[in-house]
Amino acid sequence: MATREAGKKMIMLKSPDGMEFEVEEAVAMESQTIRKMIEDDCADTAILIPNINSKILSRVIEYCNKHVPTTGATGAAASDTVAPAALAEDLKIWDAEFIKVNRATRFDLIQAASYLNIKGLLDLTSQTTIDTISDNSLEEIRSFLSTKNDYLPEEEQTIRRENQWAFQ
Amino acid sequence: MKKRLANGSIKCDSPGVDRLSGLPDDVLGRILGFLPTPLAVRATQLSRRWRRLWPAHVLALNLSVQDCKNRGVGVRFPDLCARALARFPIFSIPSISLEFCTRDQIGVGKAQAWYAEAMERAAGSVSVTLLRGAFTLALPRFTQAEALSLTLTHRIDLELPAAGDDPVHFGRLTELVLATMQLPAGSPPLHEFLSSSCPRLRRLRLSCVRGGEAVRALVLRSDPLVELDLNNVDGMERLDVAAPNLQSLSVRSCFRFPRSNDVDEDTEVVVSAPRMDSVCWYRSYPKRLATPDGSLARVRRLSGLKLATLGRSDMFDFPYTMQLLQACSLTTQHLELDLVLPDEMTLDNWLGPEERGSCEDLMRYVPPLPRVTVLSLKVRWGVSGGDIGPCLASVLSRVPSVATIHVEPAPYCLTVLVRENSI
Repeated sequence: MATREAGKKMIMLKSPDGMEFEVEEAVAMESQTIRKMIEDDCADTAILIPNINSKILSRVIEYCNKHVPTTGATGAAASDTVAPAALAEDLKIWDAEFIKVNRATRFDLIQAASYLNIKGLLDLTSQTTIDTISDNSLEEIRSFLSTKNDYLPEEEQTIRRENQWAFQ
Repeated sequence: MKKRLANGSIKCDSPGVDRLSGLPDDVLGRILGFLPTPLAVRATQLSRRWRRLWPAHVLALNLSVQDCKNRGVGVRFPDLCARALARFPIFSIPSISLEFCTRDQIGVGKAQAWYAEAMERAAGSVSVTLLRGAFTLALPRFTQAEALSLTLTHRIDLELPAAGDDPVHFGRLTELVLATMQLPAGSPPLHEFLSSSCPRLRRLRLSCVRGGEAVRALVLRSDPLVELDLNNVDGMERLDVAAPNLQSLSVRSCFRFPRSNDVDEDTEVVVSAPRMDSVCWYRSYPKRLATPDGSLARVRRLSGLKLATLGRSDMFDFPYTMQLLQACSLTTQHLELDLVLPDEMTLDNWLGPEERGSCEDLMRYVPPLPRVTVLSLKVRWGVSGGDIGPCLASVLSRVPSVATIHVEPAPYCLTVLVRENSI
């Protein structure tokens, strides 16, 4: 872990279950939602993150910590720096490890990434979810997602006809 | 995550609650955007909840000929493309991915038609892959796309738009990737196209590009450019980059070895980039490598370099490797090296039997590298092995601050051995 340097602005994030996380402003601003709050001066002391429990929030912070662009000695703005190819490769490996979680946690992460608007995390979690939808028959997907087929038989016919252009 | 049971049903780790369907429309739409378009369309058949997602909330079109596998059965790829484009609810498409070929059922004319439409409607990222076939892909004169990636096949031409009456404008383009293609004879120089038409380009990657005239000289004068990656750009003779914001430069296998008696091959690289942070240089250096204005004074990551432990200090790429190592010696924190341990046979090949006396220990030229904290070494040795210990000790004595070391052994004569065995 990088040692915290003096002068770096810290932000307090609070989860609804009462945990507090002190993170660097740059890390918190990986979330577009938090960035907006900070830029609009709505974040004096602490930001309450509703709907995201401490377990998930700590994982989200872990992700942001890893993905925050390193600010070089050049003092470049964080969003302007580019990870060199090898560094990007390291990140990919790290991401693959990070996303090895059970399905419930992954859905929690999707929800959190969506609420906090963290594009990279949303892409990562979405991409790992599509194999669920792509590899199986409709019946299998329904049973896997516990989704009920609530179409009437004639509706189902219509929709199948509408979609025919993509299959047959 | 899930287990398929013997009776074909699927066992879930948390049955009962449809968590995925509980997500907001745009999040689900985004997830569907990672799927091939036919599968995203199919998902609307799951339940009413899913019906409203496509196309209203899916911002991506992913069309691949590989999703239309059935010969003569099922939807034909050109029809799929045309219909998907027609059904997309808004004109500008945030993300398009096309993968096609021009054999079998796909005529060149049809492919041209929807390729042109896709390019016209592309607003975010575009990725086009040509799997095989005889096809000349033309860049449009105008695109709204921000990221454009074209991967063709060997010997397939990419036509750059010629300067003409219509202005060529890629005004929003920040990222361009051109891979596995040929720029045909008579193409305007690539850098002319880049500098006149792509004023906001931040990342440029060229990989396996044959271009003759079009890439013989690559002269880039650019403020926005931050990343330049050139890999196997064939026939390049001059690279001249002045980019005040360039941070990452990677040049791999782009120049042939300079031969001092060869007047024709006058290859040169000049890089002026005072904010450069990362340099990767792999094989094949130009005859002259110049980095004025302290371009290497801030490099923190240096990779790709090949360093022979024995040989002659004026041979092959050794002088260039040393030039880069020395220029970056005081700032580099992350160093990746290919350490080559030549055996007797290799040295004979390199130096000739008569010149063996000129062989010296090259490790002693390696400068101290006081700030290196992460060191990655790929150690390569010949048939008869090599004495790795002293070389490693020699490298390690130069890096007093090192905290992490990766060493990967990679014998370099494996292919030779295989061939000998098979005779």
